[in-house]
Amino acid sequence: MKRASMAAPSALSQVVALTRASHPTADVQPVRAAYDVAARWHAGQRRKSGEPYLSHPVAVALIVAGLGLSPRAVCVALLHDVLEDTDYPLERLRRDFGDDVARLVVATSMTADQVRAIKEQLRSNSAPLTSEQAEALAVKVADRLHNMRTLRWLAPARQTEKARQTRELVVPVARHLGLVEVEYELAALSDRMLRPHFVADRTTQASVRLLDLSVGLLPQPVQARWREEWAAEVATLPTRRARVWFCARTMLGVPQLARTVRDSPLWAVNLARIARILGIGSAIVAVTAPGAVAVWVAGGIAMGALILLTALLFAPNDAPTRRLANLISAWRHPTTARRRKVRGN
Amino acid sequence: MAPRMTLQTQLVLRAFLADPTQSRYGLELCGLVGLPSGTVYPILARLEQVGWLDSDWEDVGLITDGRPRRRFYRITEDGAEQARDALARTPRAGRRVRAGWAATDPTLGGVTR
Repeated sequence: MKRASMAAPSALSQVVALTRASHPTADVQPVRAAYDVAARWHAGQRRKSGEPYLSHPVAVALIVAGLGLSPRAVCVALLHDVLEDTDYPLERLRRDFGDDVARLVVATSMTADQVRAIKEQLRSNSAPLTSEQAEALAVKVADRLHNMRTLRWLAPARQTEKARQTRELVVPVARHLGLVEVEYELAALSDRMLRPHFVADRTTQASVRLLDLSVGLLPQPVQARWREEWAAEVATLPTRRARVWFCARTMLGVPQLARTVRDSPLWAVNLARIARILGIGSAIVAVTAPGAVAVWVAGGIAMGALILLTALLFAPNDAPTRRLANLISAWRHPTTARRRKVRGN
Repeated sequence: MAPRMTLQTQLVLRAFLADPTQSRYGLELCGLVGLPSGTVYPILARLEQVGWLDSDWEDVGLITDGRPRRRFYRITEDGAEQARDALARTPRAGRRVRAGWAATDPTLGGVTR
């Protein structure tokens, strides 16, 4: 690709220029050397996006240089993945760039738990950061910023996990380091991933309501838990199709779940109740007189109806959805009317 | 009472055992093991019932934008031990199934004897 072939010389000169901008007198030779090492050792590797892997350390170095950090930090940014992802040995890193850089590169490959420990340390103000720690953390934060900018190439589940971790750990660390702009961008990027997407989408609302209805099969005490758990999952799904699909598949598992949580055929009785509620049960009502077989048959029919209704939701226009909504409200009305009557008596 | 070791249950357990300290939510597991949500949640409920899994709500303090809390599952120490035993006792799955495991996640390819 044109961009990739042009990236090599201009990327290095950009990094050098940005470094010089805040450190005019500094020796940038190590930065060039670090770029060469990263280019040589990451050669052939690719990012999830398909770009050459080198684009990542370069982007991180640009962020670090843009923040006005030292040339040493820029080197560390360029080298931050060579130990983890290539065969470049630590001794050689020490020899080529000195103990300081090597120690910092090692420090940037800290685990989430170590970051959490540092975050706690910062919050309780128990021990101030050493300048070396702060530099390593800043590179780490820049690394995460570039990863969050290119998050769309990860699997959806990993995206949410990364976003959660960023919100919980990296944003506070960025704040403590005084990297205000980075903090805001990280917060905005991760919030976008975690916010509910389905605010005014009628199809999703209808399928969630249907799922809620099927939760009625579960024993009373655990109903709220599963409703909330599933609402959270639905809220983070990106497309309408994915949300409706999730509701439908989950609903199919509800009878099994009901049997698991309580080993009794109560769910079948409840299914029959839902069948009546949905208005398809007029024929079934006659059969639901005591008798286990009849109850199971009614339950089966009701389940089929639920599946059918779900299939309706995939129709291209929203007429079936509207009809379904009418159906549900029609069910609610007689119930409330009956209650009022009872109270009146 | 140990849960029935269906293939799906085995997949879910292997996903947990691959990284026993990691807590995961239901949807994430669906993606990890490649099973539909309707299959995964009942298995999670069953495993939790027998005490192999532990589950808890996401820390509410983290949520600033009104997103509902997620429920996270984690394998218990006891559960991990018993699950390893149970997996070792189940007859070795056929080659085709193992290939399927390997495709979902390389760490699941090696089957304990």
